[in-house]
This record gives sequence, structure tokens and C-alpha cells, in this order.
Amino acid sequence: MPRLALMIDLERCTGCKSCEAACKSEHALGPTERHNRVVWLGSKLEENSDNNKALDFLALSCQHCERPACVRACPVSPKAISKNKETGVVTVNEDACVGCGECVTACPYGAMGFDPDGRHAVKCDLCSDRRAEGSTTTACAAVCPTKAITFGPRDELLNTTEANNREMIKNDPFLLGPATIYLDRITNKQEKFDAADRNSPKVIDSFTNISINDTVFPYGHDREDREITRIESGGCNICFNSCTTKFHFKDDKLVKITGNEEDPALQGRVCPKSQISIQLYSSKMRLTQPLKRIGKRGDNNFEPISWDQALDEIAQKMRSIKKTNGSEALGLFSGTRTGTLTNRGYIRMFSKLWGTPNFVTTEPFCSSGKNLAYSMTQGYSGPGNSYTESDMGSAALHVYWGDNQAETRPVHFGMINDWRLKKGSRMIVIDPRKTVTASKADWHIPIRPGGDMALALAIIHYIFEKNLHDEVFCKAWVLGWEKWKSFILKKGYTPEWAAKFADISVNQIYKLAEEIAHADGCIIYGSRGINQHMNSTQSNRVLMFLAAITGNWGRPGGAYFNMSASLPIDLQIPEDKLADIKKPKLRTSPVGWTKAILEGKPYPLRSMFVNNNPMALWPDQSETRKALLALDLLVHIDIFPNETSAFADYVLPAATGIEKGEVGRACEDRRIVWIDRMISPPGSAKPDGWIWIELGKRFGFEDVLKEEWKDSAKFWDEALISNIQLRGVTQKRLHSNPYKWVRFPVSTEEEPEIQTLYLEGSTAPGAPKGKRFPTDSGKLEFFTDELEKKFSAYGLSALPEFYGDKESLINMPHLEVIDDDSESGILGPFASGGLSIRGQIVSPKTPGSNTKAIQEGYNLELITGRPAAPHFHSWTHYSWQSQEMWPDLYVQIHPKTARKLGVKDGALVLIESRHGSIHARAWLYSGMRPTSVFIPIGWGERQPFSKWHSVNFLTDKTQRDPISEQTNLKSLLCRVKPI
Amino acid sequence: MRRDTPKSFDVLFQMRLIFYSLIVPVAVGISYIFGTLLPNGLSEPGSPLMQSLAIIGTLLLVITFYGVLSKRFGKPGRIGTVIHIISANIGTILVIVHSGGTIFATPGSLIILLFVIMLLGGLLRIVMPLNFSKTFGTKLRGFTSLEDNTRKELRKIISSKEDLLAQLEPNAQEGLFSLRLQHWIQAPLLAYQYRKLEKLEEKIIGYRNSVKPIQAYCRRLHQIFSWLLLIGITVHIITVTFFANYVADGRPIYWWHIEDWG
Ligand code: HEM
Ligand code: SF4
Ligand code: SF4
Ligand code: SF4
Repeated sequence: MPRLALMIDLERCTGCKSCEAACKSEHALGPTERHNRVVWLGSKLEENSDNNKALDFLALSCQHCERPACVRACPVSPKAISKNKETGVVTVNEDACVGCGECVTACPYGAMGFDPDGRHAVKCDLCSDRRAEGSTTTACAAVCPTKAITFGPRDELLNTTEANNREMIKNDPFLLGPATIYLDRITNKQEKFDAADRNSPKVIDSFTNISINDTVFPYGHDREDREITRIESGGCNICFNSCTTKFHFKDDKLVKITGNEEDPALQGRVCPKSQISIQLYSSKMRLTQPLKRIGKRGDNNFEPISWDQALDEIAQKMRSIKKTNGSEALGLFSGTRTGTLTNRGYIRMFSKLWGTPNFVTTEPFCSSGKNLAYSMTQGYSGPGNSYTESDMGSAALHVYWGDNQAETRPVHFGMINDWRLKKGSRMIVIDPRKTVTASKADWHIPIRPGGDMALALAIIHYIFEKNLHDEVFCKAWVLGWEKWKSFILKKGYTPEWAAKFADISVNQIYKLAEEIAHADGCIIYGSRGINQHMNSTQSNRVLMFLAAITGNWGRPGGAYFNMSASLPIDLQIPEDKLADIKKPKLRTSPVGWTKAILEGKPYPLRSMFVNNNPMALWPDQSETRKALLALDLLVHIDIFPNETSAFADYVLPAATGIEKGEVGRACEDRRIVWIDRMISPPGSAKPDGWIWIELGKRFGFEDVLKEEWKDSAKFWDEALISNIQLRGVTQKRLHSNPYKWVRFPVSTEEEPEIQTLYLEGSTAPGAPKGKRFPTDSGKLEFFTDELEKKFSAYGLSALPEFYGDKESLINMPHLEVIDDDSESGILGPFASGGLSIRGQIVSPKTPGSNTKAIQEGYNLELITGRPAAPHFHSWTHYSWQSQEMWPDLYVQIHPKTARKLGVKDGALVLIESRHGSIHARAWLYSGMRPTSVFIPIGWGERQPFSKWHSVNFLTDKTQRDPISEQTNLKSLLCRVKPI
Repeated sequence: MRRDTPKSFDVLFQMRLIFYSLIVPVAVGISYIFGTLLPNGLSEPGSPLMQSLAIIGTLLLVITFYGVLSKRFGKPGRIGTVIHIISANIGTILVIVHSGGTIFATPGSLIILLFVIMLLGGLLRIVMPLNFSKTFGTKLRGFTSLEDNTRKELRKIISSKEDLLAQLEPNAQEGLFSLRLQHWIQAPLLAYQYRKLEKLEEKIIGYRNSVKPIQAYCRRLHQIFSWLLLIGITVHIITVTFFANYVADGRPIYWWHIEDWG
């Protein structure tokens, strides 16, 4: 057998730590016990910290040295560490090891692990157990979303390195002869990689006091206990990547979750979250019984009760509230954990049978802006391209604009980056901070938060002025583009005009415009960085217009791609069963409901069912909490106790993923991944569907919300796929392949999947024959009289006029909201017919509240957003391993700014906005704009491992886009103080 | 089987370090009180009772050494470590009881040594495993560059080691070899020269400088003090056995002295 090795590509690695999760899962390693670790490296924190070295990742494991320092240091005889003569693999004999730690001291790579509980060394042996069982690769290489890790005979790896002309990092200063091959960066490369000029941020892997006792099976168990007897394919229900996975069981016990290598699309790649979700399924912290509050609300005192008692009492209270305040006094909020089947199915049905318009999901926090913008422009609320090599992989230019895909959909990013490197296409990232995505780009543009719309308008101005637009496409397929052109030119939205707002030089804007206009296939990815602003809908439209006028629509490798593709689920409820709803929906965003609860205006809302965690997720926590506390009835349905459950009257334990059977999250790739029910929920926890059906029975809804629909697979086939686009996605078809997904739209079980929608010459799915796009005109619509009428109702115009957010370091034209949430406002013509706020664009000359705020010291731009890949909102904070990787709430701040404030790396700081204050630990990061700070979402003060207040104590519920009601979460003012 | 300690042991786990650090002072205190309570004839360190305790204690301390050193001769290391800890604890207590809690007399320095050794042993067993574990990924010296001259020097050291090894143990491979007791006994000079080269190499690699001093030297100090203790005990035995009068300093001499040369 030849000498074996790992090859690790720094150009590809995104630091997601999926390999860490895979390793711990394969070897059942407990907290702090490691065979590998992905070290995040920043630049040194000296005076001029180098932005080019702001972020790199070193996936570290044993180098399987020719002259292993660890072996020589081992005092035991015969040595407790040995080296295989053929493969070169260095292995520790855990039974012979006396735990003296000498090898740990000796290894200059810091690659020798230790089991603090069993008190012996542990180390990477290139998965010898796994290979002995027939696997051809290591656990880490198998899951890596970016293909950064390759395993194989060292000679072969060296050959590919040479063939691809890649430079290797020098990793043998001490003549130990390491086997591992590290490939140096290609893009963004200044000089040879040298760990000596790097610094590892203190907030990552900073150790917590988690011990093996905080874990349950399979961690810490021997391999014999974990022998796999059954494998089932399914998927991950956490993010929009919708990865396919395999669930490995020993009898009925879940042993590990891996990727599904049989899936031709994802090929076994997954991020850490799906693997770590085994810790959520088996967590000791799960809610297992219905609970009823005893004592004061918020005291977190509960008694366990039966399901019957819980549902009877809740139903009783609901009836009495209905009697005094009407059925509309019930609000329903459902977050992402609850799953598509419930959010789009069970609860929605319940709300219609009960008679309340007040049902919302997290859309107004995430994506309602882009949904509306797509619907207006394209006629359907999501993009039509797919993550295939011949579609999105074929783009010549990828522009990530406010989309940190590498950390939010790590596998899709890995695929794009792989194709890009193979094809040699360019990547540009526009983001105020050097996100992981930006760290991989050919060009990172650190835009001012809130300057996106201005930049996009300027690019369009440049393109029109220089006649770089695709006139043929515009003429044939765009309605109102000429009107738009003259509007832009008349308004004078030039690069010179935009430079100040975007904080980007004029020349850079020219260059960016040229690149976008000339690329043969450009995909502009937009996401929360575009959506979470007061100009959410309009910014999205402007970016859509940019893609359209450059011909990047309805073609492979060209798009405006703002995820994700919402499922066109139509619920079939017989007319006569629909409840009579007399009042219009309160605001589209549930943060707009607080006045209805607190003051009974515009009309009273007295009871709420909340799934997931509004008491961390909703903007403006102080107001949110005041409101939720004032309700007559608050029912919380979830899998873990959290901030919200502490305030609830009843807490109902729910099931998730393979405990109930569901589809993956609305996938940005239009893949519908089916997840079978494979295990029972813990204790007496129940699937969400069960809960709504049982509650429905108390009101006589069982003829619509049928008993048999507790079986989610049946519910899918019978209740959810009547829309022509979903009709072919039956259980039968989903189960007809080993990866259980189908890419919609397909109208029959036989119809082939469509890779790229809206191609020239095609008819849009569900549209009348000949209509390329599913709009009324069959074209992309920039301007119509009807649009103009609708926009003007909100105080805006159909041709997007520039305005930014209210809080900014410079005076921008911005939006002042006219209607307070206690006022009715208007019946919004766009957003599902609910009561809407109106706005008014205020000129930059009007001194805003900014000047005063800046004078008061709020002189940093606050950006909130998703943390690194192992975390997802609050879910992952119940997994010890995500917590081990990223324990603390942090604030990214530029070293220069930090120095001025006297803040040290890793130190505790106070962050204050005009809306509240929180604590966090400082992460001195040279990839930050010196005037901005970033704080991630997801932490909460009642989480089991490390307790921090949610960043939403700093955000403001009133800063909303009137059309989509998206809250501005990306551009606020704050100040930071050392403690 | 799960390699696990039940939750209720957690507190005890935290307490163990305190336990190890207190064992000597507490034993000293109790022995002292006992000493004042027992009749003089029994409480004297040289009394038959105390003497027997001393002999058993010393034997246990020898076993303590055997426990950890046996792994160097191919005996199962983990069992050795368990023996090491148990015998160290009992041995230490017995020896202190034998001393009657006197730490101010000359042999008292051995008790102070015992205290330090126990403390370091406790650290090694209880605190260090977590430190070892947390070291992973904290040193990236292998990914830095080294000056050409130093690399040349390193190359020379390795080839010198290879030359020496050809004489010390011809079949061994330099990259996997380290000295054992056997080499020190059979060829002490060569072993010494080899060790010197190893030290030079270790210095370049960083070795003990690559981790926190407490982690780097804890075991070393535990070892050094242990050998000092062994020497101290030997000297003590020789003096009490052969220089009884000098030791007794006027107090009765029991049956134990073999010769009184003092
Ligand atoms: C009178 C008391 C003790 C003596 C004389 C003693 C002596 C020694 C010696 C000579 C070694 C070095 C072994 C080698 O060279 O490989 C050692 C190692 C060690 N001792 Fe002790 N020790 C004592 C008490 C303790 C106690 C109380 C503990 C733990 C609670 C302890 C824990 C250890 C550990 C963990 C090692 C390192 C493991 C190894 O090298 O095998 N020792 N001890
Ligand atoms: S799994 Fe993630 S962290 Fe590990 S090598 Fe791949 S990209 Fe890097
Ligand atoms: S990398 Fe470290 S642990 Fe691995 S063989 Fe080399 S010296 Fe030993
Ligand atoms: S969280 Fe998203 S990227 Fe990660 S495994 Fe799940 S679906 Fe895939």
C-alpha cells in the first residue's frame, strides 16, 4: 500500500468546520477531544493590519510525519504511538498510552489530540477503522462542502497538484517530513502563506466548560457500541441548501448523520449543522411534555400536564377570547424550525378554519422584499436557475451582493466555487465586511451599509449611458425599460452621485459596471444584505432590472438570484368551511402587532401561538417582550425551552425532522427533499401537524384537518401538491431514487425536471402557452400603470427612486414612516391585503435624527446577520458542538477602531444603540469597515451553554419597508464601549 | 461501554485537586495531634509501630515508582498509573504518620517534597488532561518558515544522531527512536551524546517552549522532585540505620539500628 495523505486546499476551504463535525461523529469524540480542527486565521493586529490576510482557514490534523516528533517523545515502551511502514499512518494505541502529554508538547503542528476524560492521547489515523470497513475516503473529506479536502495516495495527490499548477504551502520547517499537502491561495494572494504573520481570533473555539457529561450517545462510546445496522436516506431540514443526508442507525438508535454520496447533485457534501443535528434529536434538553405555567409570567415556572388537559384548556381560552374580541384576536407566528409542511400547510389551514388573517412566518424578517419584487417583475416569487454545472456553474461572473453564501448555504457555495475555479470565472463580493464569501473573491468591495441601491442605480446609469445594455433582450422581453432608462438618466443617478452613498470610488463603480455588462453570463446573488433594509422591495427590483437589461434572465449562467424559490402550495379548503374573517390582517410583520396587543389598536390582538423564538428573533426586543407579556394567552410550541417559552402560558413539545416526516427548507435550487419519519419524538412530544389537527378537533375542524393527515406523507400528497407546478412531486416520485428529491416544477410524475426556467422559446410553468414569463404580459415588468397605482398608495413610485435607511453616518435621502402601528394606515395593495404603513422619502438636506445620534456618540454602523456555518438561529445553540466551535456572541470590529476605543481582542464590550444595549465579546477583525461593526443573530439569554442577550435588543421595529414590511436589520447606528 | 463519569462525580472531580494538595498538610496535622495523644513510646518515629508504618510506606513509595516506570519496560502503562496513584497516596500518608507530623526536623524536608510531588501529580492528573486537549491547533510552528542556517544545523543534528544510533542500536530508525533505560545502562556515554543532540533538536522545534510553562514542566518537576525524594529517603534510611545515635540525639534507640557508626 502506498503512503496515504490528505490534501487540503486553502483556496476552497471556507472554515465551515464540517470536517470537524464529521470527525467527531465518525470517532464519537467528546468535547475538546479532537483529531482535527479548522483554525481561523486573521491578520496580525498591529497598526496596519493587512486586509488581504484578514481571513484564511487551516484545516489541521496530524501530518503523519516521516520523523514524527510525537513518537520520539512518547516515554512508553514499546511506544504508545506507532507508524505504519507502508501507509505512513501514525496511530496512537489508546490502551498503552499513559496520558503523560509529552507528544502533545512535542508536536509542532499542534495536531496531537487528547481525551481529557479518558486521559490518553487521541489522534487522526486517516480513518483506519472506516477504511477497514470498506470506505475509500476519510470522514472529513467525504463531507467537505467545498471539496477542500482530498484523501488518497500521496504520490497521486502530488501529481494532481503539479498538473493543476498549484503551489504548496511549506509545512516542513523542522524536517519532520509531513505527509499532508496544503495548497496555497490563488486569488487574493499577496505572498507565501506563513502562519507567523497570522493571528487566531479569540472568540473562535474559545473553550467552554462543556464536558462529556453534557453529551449523550454516541459520543464517548466505543466503536462496537456504534456498529451500523441500518441506513436511511433523507435530508437536512435546517437551511435553504436542503442537503440530502443519510441517517445511520444501530437498531433504533441514531449513530450518525452524513451526506448522501449517492446524490448526483450534492455528492455527499453537507455542512456541520446536519451532522450535529444528531445532538438535537437526542438532546437531554428537549421539551418532552406539555407544560402549564404556574406563578407569574416570565418566572419560568411550569407544571407538566397531559395533552388533553393542555389542548382542552387552550381551546377553552381561545373560545372566550373569540367571544369578546373576535376570531381575528388570535395571532399565529411560525418560524423556520416548524417546517414547510406546518408553515404552509397545517397552521395555514387552521388559521383559515378558525378565522384569523393574522398568521405570519419569518418572511418579513427574511425575504418578503425579494418575494414581492420577483412577483411584480417576473410573476413568480423566486429565481428560476439551478445549481448545476451547465446552469449556474457556467456563469463567467459571480457577483455576491449582500449574500454571504459561504456561511449561509455552505454547500451551494462550495459547488459554485468549485465550478468557478475549474472554469476560471470571476467572483466579486459587495459587502461591508469581508465575509467568508468575500475572502474567496477576486475582488471585495466594502460598501457602506445601506448604499446598495445607490450603487446599483449608478451601475445602471453607466450601462445605459454607454449603451452597454442588451437592447435586443430589453426590446423583446422587458416592459417599461425605456421609461426606466429615461428616469435614471433624468434623476442623474451617476457613479459620481452614488460614490458618496456607497463609499466606493467612481472608478471602481465604472469598473464594476463594465464587468457586469461585458460578462457572458453574470449571476448577481442577493440575499438578506439586500432584503433587510427599508428599501427592501425597491433595492431588489433595481438589482433585477440590472440583471434584465444585461440579458441575464432566463438563460443558463445569468440571473438575479435572491433565494429562495418558494413552494407554490395551494390549500384546498371547501368554501363553506372557510371561516368568516371580518377584519383585515394587521401588519404583514408581526412586530407591527405590538400596538394591537398593548393598546388594542387598530384592533385588539389578545392571544398568540408562537413557534420558535420571537423573544430573540423579532426586532426591538424591549417592545416585543412588553407586548407578549400583555397577551391573555401565549402558547409556545417548540423542541427546546427558550426565551419565549419562559413567558408562555402553555409550552407544547414538538417534533422535528425525522421524528415527524417533512420536506427540507424551501430550497434555493428548487429541489424538494423528502425526509421520512424514522424515529419517535422524545417523551410525549408530538409532530406540529398532530398538534394542529388535535387542536382543530376541539373546534370541529376534523372534516378538513383530517385525522389521517397526521401522517405527513399522506398530507403532502393529498393536501399540498395540487398546484400544477407541484403535481408531479408525489411521494412515489420522491421515493423513486436513492436521494429522495425532485426539482419542481413538474406537473406529472413522469415530466422531466427543468434545469433553467424561462428560457427563450419556452412557456413559463403554469402560464398560458407562449408566455415566457408568468406575468400578465409574459414579459419582465419594470413599469405598468397598475404598478404605479399600487406603489403610489404607499407614497412611493413604480420606478424605484433612491432612498436609504433612516440611521446612517451620512445624510442620505431616507424614508420616514408616516403611520404609527396603532393606526390603520392603508389596505396594502401588494401585501396580502393587510393594513399597511406608508412612507415618505425625505431629502438628504433635511437634517435627520442622525446628526443628533452621531453627536451622542452613536458613530458606528451596526450590521446584524447570520454567524458562521455551524450556527443557525437559536437551534444550534442547544448542540454542544456548535457551542464548542462558536460559544460566544461577538462583535466584529476593525482593529484600528478598537484601538481608539481601548478594546482588546476577546474582551467583553457593551454595545448600545438608541433602542437598547447588549454585551458581547470583541473580535478584532481587519476585514471590517473601520466605521462598521457586525453582530450575529441567534444567541439568547436562556440558552443552555452560554447566555447572551439577542442582538435584537439593538434593533428597531419601526424601520420597515412599507411594501414588504421587512425591518432594517443591516444599517443602524451604535456605539461600543469597553467594560 | 461509555467512557463516562456520572454527573454526581463532577463535583468530586473538581475537588480532587484540592484533595491532592491537602493530603499532605492534613496528614501532617493529624499525625501531629496523634503524636501528642499517643503515649511517647508509641508516637516516637522510631517506635516499633511507627517504624513498621515507615517500612510499609516506603515500600509503597517504591511501588509508586515501579507503577510509572514499569511502562518503560513494556508493562501495561495505564494499570501502572493507577497503581502509581494509589500507592503514592497510601505510602505518603503512612510515611507522614511515621514522622509524627514533624516538618521542622531534617527529615521534614522529605515531607515538604512529598507535598510538592503530590500537588504536581494532582495537577498532572486532573488539570493537565484538559490543557493537553485544548492545545490542539494552538501552535502552528509547523506552518512557519525557518532560517536556512537553522535548517542546515537541524540537518547536521539529524545526521549526527543517525551516526550515533548506528552504534547505539543499529536496527533502529532515527525518526522513531528515543533513548530507554537500557541504553543509559549499556552505553551511558553514547546515550548522553545522543540526548544532547535530541535536546538541540527539541530547542529548534520549540518543544517545551511551545506550550504554557506549567504544562511543559509539570511532569518534569514531578519527576525531578520524585527522584530527589528517592535519594532523600535513601539517605534517611542509611542515617537512621547506621548512625542511630546521631539521629536519636538522646532519645531511645530501638531494635532497628544495625550499627551505630555515629
Ligand atoms: C510520593 C508520591 C509520588 C511519587 C514519588 C511519584 C513519582 C513519579 C515519577 C518518578 C514519575 C515519572 C514517570 C516517568 O518517568 O515516566 C511520575 C509520573 C506521574 N505521576 Fe507521580 N509520583 C507521586 C505521586 C503522584 C500522584 C499522587 C499522582 C496523581 C494524583 C501522580 C501522577 C503522576 C502522573 C499523571 C505521571 C505522568 C504519567 C507517566 O509518566 O506515567 N503522581 N510520578
Ligand atoms: S469541511 Fe469546511 S472547514 Fe473543513 S476543509 Fe472543508 S470547507 Fe474547510
Ligand atoms: S503531526 Fe504531530 S502528531 Fe502528527 S505525526 Fe507529526 S508530530 Fe506526530
Ligand atoms: S444546514 Fe443547510 S447547508 Fe447545512 S447540511 Fe443542512 S441544509 Fe445543508
